[in-house]
Amino acid sequence: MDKNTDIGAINSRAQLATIHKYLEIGRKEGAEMYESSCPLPGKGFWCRPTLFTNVAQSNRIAQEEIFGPVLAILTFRTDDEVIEKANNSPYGLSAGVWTDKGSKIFNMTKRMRAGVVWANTFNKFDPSSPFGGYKESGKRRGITWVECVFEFGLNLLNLLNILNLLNERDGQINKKVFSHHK
Amino acid sequence: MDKSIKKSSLTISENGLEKKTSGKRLEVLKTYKIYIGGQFPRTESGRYYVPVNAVGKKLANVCLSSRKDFRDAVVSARGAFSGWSGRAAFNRGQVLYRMAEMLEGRKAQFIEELTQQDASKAKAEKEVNLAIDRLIYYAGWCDKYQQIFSAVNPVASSHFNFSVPEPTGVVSIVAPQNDSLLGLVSVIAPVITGGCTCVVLASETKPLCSVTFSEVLNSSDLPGGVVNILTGKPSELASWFVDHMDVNATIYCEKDSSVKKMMREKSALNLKRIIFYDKVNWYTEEGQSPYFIMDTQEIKTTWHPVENIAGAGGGY
Repeated sequence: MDKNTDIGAINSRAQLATIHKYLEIGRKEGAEMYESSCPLPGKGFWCRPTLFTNVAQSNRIAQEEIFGPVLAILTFRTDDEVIEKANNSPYGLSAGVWTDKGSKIFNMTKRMRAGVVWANTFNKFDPSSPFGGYKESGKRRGITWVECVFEFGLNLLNLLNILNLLNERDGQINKKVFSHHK
Repeated sequence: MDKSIKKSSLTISENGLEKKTSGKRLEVLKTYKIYIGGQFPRTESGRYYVPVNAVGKKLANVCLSSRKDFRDAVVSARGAFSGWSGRAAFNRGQVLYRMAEMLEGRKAQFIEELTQQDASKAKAEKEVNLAIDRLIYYAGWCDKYQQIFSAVNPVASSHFNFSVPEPTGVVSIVAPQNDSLLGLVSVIAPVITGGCTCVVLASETKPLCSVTFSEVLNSSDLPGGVVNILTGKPSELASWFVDHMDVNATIYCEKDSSVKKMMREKSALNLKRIIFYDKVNWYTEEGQSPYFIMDTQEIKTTWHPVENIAGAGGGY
């Protein structure tokens, strides 16, 4: 990595724990992990830039978004193969494609099931450009404001239930990870 | 020699046809089957129900579809998706137009079935005519809604940035109970116009037209699996329609608040899009609009780099 590249700290202890949870999951599922040996500051929630290779499509680090400086690398040989792999996820917020051939860019971006597709760049935003996802990333996008507020009221209770469910699920996973550390 | 032979009391001629015409011919009744993947199977469950009309006349033996039938239908809808969405938009328009042609050709049968299901002759005629016109309406939209709902976005960086609608995938639909033909056509047409495929649960109390409509689909150029029509009870199947993880969106057309609540809760968990058409009057102008197409579309935004040598501007 370029020596001028800086990576900031993770924004909370909880998120750092989530990232560590995923690193553990990645290792357990058989992916190979490469991590920078750079020293970390003593204070703050830091995570080293991390790469995974030998990742299978079914691995959770390939299916779920980690929200950390972690890259899960899958390889491909043909266009069809990479489209198949890229679309094999319940989510579809954004995607990126890198190639030096313009017509190939459009071939790829047309077939990828994602709300935003970047070509030869990533994470570009602009107030005049829409941002939203396909599939499970795109809940309640594109409905009018009034409906949105209304739906929100109706869904508040459901939402609380879901948060509870997620907490329970994460609690169990955390327990497992921590017991493994002991 | 006499060519006909006498066997007991029955007279049989040389070609096997009875010479004497009996008083009344036994009418051949239609078997109302479901429509999955371009085929007309019976329900795998072997269950049937008999809907009756207002005066208590039994309409037919109708398949009471099961969860397994629904899952089979989703498999064929998913299989048909890439082919159908990959068709040229103009060609999708041609296919929808052909569906309207086929419906026009069987007008009399639909009017007959609607009158069996309590509609007056005039109302039945109006419903069939509107259903045909609605297909023509959406046939026209097939290659036009994209232009209207697409945009080229003026981003500050040197990118060509554009957003286009794309079909969401497989849509499960609980069709309107009352307008058994017009409602059915009005919810199916915008979904397939946009390149999605669908599994539809027809009206429980008035299912006759839905089965005949699937015969119309079968004789038009619509590929098998794009539209799959089941008959049965919403009370039994509605929850599976929202539950199934290979379904991208669910449309519900009734006012039943407990079903709507159930759908909201389930979709909040599995993040499926749910769309309610419970307030739409399919007989008026509000029953047709390109916004119905957009309900089952996703928006994709692409950032394509534009060469920008040494900060050159866009001047001539």
